Amino acid sequence: MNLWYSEHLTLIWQTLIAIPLALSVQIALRSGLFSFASIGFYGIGGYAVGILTLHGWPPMVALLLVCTASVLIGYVISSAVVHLRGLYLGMVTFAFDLILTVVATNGGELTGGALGLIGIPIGVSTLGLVIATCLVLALAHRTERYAVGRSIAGMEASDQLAVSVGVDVRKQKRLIFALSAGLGALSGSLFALAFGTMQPTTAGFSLVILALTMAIIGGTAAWPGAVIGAAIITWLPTFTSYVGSYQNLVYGVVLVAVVMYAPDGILGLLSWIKSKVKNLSGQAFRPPSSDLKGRDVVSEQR
Amino acid sequence: MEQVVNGAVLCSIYVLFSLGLSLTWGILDKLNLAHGAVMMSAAFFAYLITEHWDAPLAVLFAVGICGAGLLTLVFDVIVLGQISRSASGKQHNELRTLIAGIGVNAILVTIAQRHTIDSPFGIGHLDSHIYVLGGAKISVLQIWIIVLAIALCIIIAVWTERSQFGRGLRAIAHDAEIAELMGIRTRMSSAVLMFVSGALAGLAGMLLVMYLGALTPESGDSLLLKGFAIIILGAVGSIWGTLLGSAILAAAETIVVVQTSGTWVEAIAFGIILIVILVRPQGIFARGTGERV
Repeated sequence: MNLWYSEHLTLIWQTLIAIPLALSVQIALRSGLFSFASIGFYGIGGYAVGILTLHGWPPMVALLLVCTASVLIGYVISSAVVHLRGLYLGMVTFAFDLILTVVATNGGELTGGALGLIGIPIGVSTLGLVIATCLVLALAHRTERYAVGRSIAGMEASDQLAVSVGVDVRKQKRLIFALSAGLGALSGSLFALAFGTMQPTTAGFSLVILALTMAIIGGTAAWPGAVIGAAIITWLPTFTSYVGSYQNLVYGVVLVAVVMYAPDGILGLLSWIKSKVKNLSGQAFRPPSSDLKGRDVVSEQR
Repeated sequence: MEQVVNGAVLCSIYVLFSLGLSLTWGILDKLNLAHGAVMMSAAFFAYLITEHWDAPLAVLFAVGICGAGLLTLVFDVIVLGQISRSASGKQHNELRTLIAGIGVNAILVTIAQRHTIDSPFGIGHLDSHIYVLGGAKISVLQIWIIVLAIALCIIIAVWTERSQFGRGLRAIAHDAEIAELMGIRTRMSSAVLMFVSGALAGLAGMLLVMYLGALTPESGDSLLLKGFAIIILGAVGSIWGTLLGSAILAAAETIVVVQTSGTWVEAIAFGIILIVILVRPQGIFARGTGERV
């Protein structure tokens, strides 16, 4: 166990760091926000924490400061973008991410140019990462229950529906956007503190694909989906070592296959299997997974 | 003067690339995020042929253009067809279409990356004929690029605005279900449009790889974003808007390259996207209301 642990320490850290990132995309998607802004905040968080700790700030203080600032910045930015419909929001936030990579490349001394930041003091341990992940998951769980959870489920089904039952859609979306920004920044900060480097390309095009793949493969219905997605995407390369450099090809194929045949991801498949098993044991009929979410919303509103 | 020629060529490539993207988005409501990779694939197919056979240029162009068209058609029929068949909300399907495009993009780019071992590839046939026209040097290829872009703009405009087929397309854009009830073969029309869209991207890819001498497997990604910037500048689905958007982007980029070191060029397209969507989401030259947002 100990040997296994030390051999796979990097992967364990990567998984723990990927979970907040996957959640940040997932929470946005679940609320009907097709936003990649959290990837940009991943870059901002990583660079900000890196720069602060390189200037002698204690890592914990830098981390907390950066995450809080990101939530606030996210909330301010959100007022300009949350009214945009699906695709437009996706493209604006995508452009936002890519502008940041250009800014980081041209940042001179401060950001280290194209080489990025090197030698950021390592400031996290496995225990710290586990605690951070647990806190994040608890927060995510909170957004799925109570009034908040129900209003988010309503917004995912339809904005008009949510408005008609008295949900302040705009306010909720702004809060979700800010939360997503904070989660992205947290993930980026943890990455910088765990691996000690930050490059302009770290938070670029490929990370957008990676984070989206995690959220979609796992399923966006509930937080375990993000955990499953983050774990699969991080560990997949080790299981398929012969795939090697074709890794992105596998991601692409999996992504296409999932949106074609299992739009609710692994989580959806699991609940579909569960309903099948229940069916076999003679219980009342339950519809397949794709209808589940809509049904839950409707029944909760009754 | 030389910069004007460069700008015009850049603008022409942008037009050819964005036209297909704009048409399928405006008429079929499908934003194909694999469009950039399709463009790259056309040049890649041609490159695969040149590896084994010293083929004439016409064959390379035919293979690249048809290959790109078929690629888009297959993506539409198999993947997007499956997505639209599953009973799910419109908003949900739109998201799935985008994600499928990202997935196909990753597949095509990775195949090209592996085959070329991450290095730029070219197809040869570099031309050397250079004319001097009013103080500016202009090559035969540059003339071809500009002429083809103008010609195709006119052809596509006439095709979509004057022909029977184009009327059908506009009916589909308005409401696909009613169009079908009126006897328009929506599936056939959409397949033809998808093929044309891919073929235009393929043509852009072939011209670009000859113009630059080589392409990297990732070159489609930045072009896709530029295409998006162009479309939202010039209103979705509008041919003349696409032309204008391309001209603005190409002019801005040429000016920045001349004035600065060039590392900021990439940021222009992204900046345009940010500003236009935030300030005037329906596009600067749009007539109607911004109901899309």
